[in-house]
Amino acid sequence: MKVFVNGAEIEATESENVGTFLLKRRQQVLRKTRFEDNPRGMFCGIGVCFDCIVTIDGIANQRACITQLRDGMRIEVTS
Amino acid sequence: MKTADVVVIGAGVVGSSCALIMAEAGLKVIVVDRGPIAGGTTGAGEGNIMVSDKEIVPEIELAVRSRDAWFEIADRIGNNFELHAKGGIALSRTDSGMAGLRKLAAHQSAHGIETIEVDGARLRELEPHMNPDIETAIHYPGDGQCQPMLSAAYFLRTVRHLKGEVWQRTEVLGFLKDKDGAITGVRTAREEISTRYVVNATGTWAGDIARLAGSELSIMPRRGFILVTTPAPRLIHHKVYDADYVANVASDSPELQSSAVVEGTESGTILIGASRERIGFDSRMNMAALERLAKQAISVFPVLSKLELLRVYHGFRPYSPDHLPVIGEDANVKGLFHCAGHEGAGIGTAPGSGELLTAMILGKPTFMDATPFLPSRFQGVA
Amino acid sequence: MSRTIIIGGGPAGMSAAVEIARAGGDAIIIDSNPRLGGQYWRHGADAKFSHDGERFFALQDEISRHSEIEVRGGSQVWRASYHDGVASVWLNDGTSLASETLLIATGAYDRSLPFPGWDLPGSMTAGGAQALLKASGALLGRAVFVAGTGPFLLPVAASLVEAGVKVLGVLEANRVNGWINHLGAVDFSKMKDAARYFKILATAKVPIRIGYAIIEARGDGRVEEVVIAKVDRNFAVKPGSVEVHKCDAIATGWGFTPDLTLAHSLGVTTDIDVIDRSVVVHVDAFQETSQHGVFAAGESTGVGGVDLALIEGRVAGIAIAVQRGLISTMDAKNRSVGLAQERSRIRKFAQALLSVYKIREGWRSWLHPETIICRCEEVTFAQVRNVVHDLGASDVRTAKLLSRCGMGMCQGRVCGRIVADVVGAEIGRSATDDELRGIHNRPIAHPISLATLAKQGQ
Repeated sequence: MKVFVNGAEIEATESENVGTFLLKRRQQVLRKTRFEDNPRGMFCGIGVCFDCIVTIDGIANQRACITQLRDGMRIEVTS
Repeated sequence: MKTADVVVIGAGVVGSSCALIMAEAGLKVIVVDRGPIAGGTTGAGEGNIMVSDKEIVPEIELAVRSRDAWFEIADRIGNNFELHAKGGIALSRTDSGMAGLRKLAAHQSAHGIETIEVDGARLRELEPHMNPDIETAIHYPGDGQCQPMLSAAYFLRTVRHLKGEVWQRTEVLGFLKDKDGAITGVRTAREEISTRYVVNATGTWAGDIARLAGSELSIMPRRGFILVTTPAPRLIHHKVYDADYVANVASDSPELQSSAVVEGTESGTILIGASRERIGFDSRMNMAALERLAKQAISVFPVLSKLELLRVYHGFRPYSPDHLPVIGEDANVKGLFHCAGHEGAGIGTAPGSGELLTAMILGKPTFMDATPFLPSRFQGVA
Repeated sequence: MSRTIIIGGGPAGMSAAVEIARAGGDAIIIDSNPRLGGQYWRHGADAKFSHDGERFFALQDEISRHSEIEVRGGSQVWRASYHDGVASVWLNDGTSLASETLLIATGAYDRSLPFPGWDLPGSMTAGGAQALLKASGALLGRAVFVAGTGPFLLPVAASLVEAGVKVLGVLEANRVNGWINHLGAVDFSKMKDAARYFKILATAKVPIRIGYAIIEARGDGRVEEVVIAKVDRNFAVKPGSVEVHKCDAIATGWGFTPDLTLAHSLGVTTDIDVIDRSVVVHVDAFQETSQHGVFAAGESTGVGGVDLALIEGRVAGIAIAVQRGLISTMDAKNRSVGLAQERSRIRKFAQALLSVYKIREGWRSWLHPETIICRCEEVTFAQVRNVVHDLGASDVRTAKLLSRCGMGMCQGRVCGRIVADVVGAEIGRSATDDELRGIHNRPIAHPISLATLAKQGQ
């Protein structure tokens, strides 16, 4: 399957969550905070802390760590 | 025994506005609240400082003066409470609704409120994400917003700096009176305070305080839910509301009513109101209210369908039988001044109310004729 | 009677489902994970386990054999309520379910303590680091420190070593002597587990340092180095003990917080744990809560680990079967032989562990004024102090509302207890029981799409 990260097409082979998929591609920083513009990545890894939020298919604030990759998914990260 | 010029009961935005203005006028003020600061309706409001939804002349005069007073206070003590003149937009999607809005705008305009009718193109400039099927609306540049809890907290901070005191978690147990029945003091859970003036700024509980003082006052709770979305980059710039809002506030139906009121906040969340239910102090969540609010908000701003609901909160807005605030001395108890029943407008009209009460207590002229607000309109004079 | 709603597909939820199915009943298991197993048996699509997979497969096989048990993975409950004997839940796909019987098996998540730099990318919870590995073999870093307190740090460090991560040290803040004895006290299999972890760590020459903590993480946009220090029995830094080490990630864990969001919405009575003051669901001998028909099992009744969760799940499942009239009380007794004793034995042990690995107050001395307390709203320690000392906030709720602590996306799941403890200390008293309960008050348990909500109203 194919997914798009900031518009770039990337081949994804296994079914996994967006967070681990990005981490394996050295994308540790997933967003910048809205007040201080500080970088954030995954923290709790299980959907509790909302630190790993990214925009998925146009919907903001989606938790990368509990969202499964889907074919054609468009992921926007800020780093 | 403590001594004060004025005891203000209630540490919400209304009580803290009264306390601030009185302390600035040189009065020694003690604020007493049975809970924490801003723990009641103040902590559950959007922070409306609206002139656009006022219809009756005295209400308009109070709202316009209060709006100006808000910015003057910010100049004096510093704007640490997110006060800004964001402006409001009132819309209707029916011809009769728009006709009503135009008529109201003309009336408001004659009483000092700036109103601008805008067409679709201008609307899109003001609110790029608004539903394109909305082609006309009234723009009110004078509507503002603040963060109400921070406002109350900073007002009270200034009161403390002016040698006033704030007693949190202190219940008022009773009143001391002289042989003529005039107030001479307040009995609290902490200690007695000797004072000639008491301000009852206890919102939905104002009737209880009136009864405790041997009088009566009818202030009822009206429940309202507010939806808070997840934070997003600024999408909505004004307070945008469907004009049914104005009609609904004045309605006496106990059932759920709602109309879209949508606005962005400094923290990035978007607030969606406004529902009204007159069902007493019931804090259970009403799914129907949530669903209707979401639907109505999306119909005005389709972009909201891409956002999520993060929190819901409800507040109990205090209202009087004629939906006007009660400001002035009790008809039966000398020295007891009420400042309550502001309904959904309490944040906005708090400073003006405080100015009226301060002038009344000091025996000075008021900035407007306050007769329509006097408690005696409901109270048989003993 | 409607089928039983089981919220949470971890060990407690799975074992309850199996008991209900064995009694001839039906149930639906709802979990945000796509797969059963919870955090303990979290796994990827290929379902590989380094150990303890047998119990999972046995439960999963039995569940899949019973068509009366529906598993709805990847689904989140965003709202729950209880009214007139019926529990209702609303799911993020816009549907809702109602039943006379419901099991809260919502588990727990890592408890975190703040320190300067804990918000940098590369700083994760211990459970988070392990979750990445279990779900897909992803590594949080190449050279990491594991720190905090509790026996859980060992398996996390061991699994990182096995996955090829260079673990630079395991730092246990509490003065514990011989973790192996604590772990071994429960039963022989735990002893074997602990011995295995120690062997892995020893072979990889991972230093285990007792009485040490990470007190700061530093780096330009991500973790590049850590400051570690020896701490006293109260967790205060011992002067002269500070060391700085290079690393590219850290995993910290301070025990667990039961997730009581939905329990709170369902209105069940809760207790405050006497040792760590965490909020736990109050249950009777049958795992039933104060609300008739609502049961709770696993970490939500108090953190106790997988073995306790499995037993509590079984007890709850059997009790639900009785309440639904599926089996007789006599039958239930036969199915429950030994469970009550086993439950009380493990519970006692869990409480003993909790007192050994208790969080001591001195951690607050690690904070700098600019240290983030609330990650979501980026509220600093100085700002929290300010709302108390300058603005007059005199309770936890007011301090939260004035500072925005806990008002963000996670709704105080991460910082709720931290804020309660910090504000309490600033006010000069401990957080009250009701303030601790208030941390779990989230009427909207998880964000729900406005579009979905609007459609529901049609």
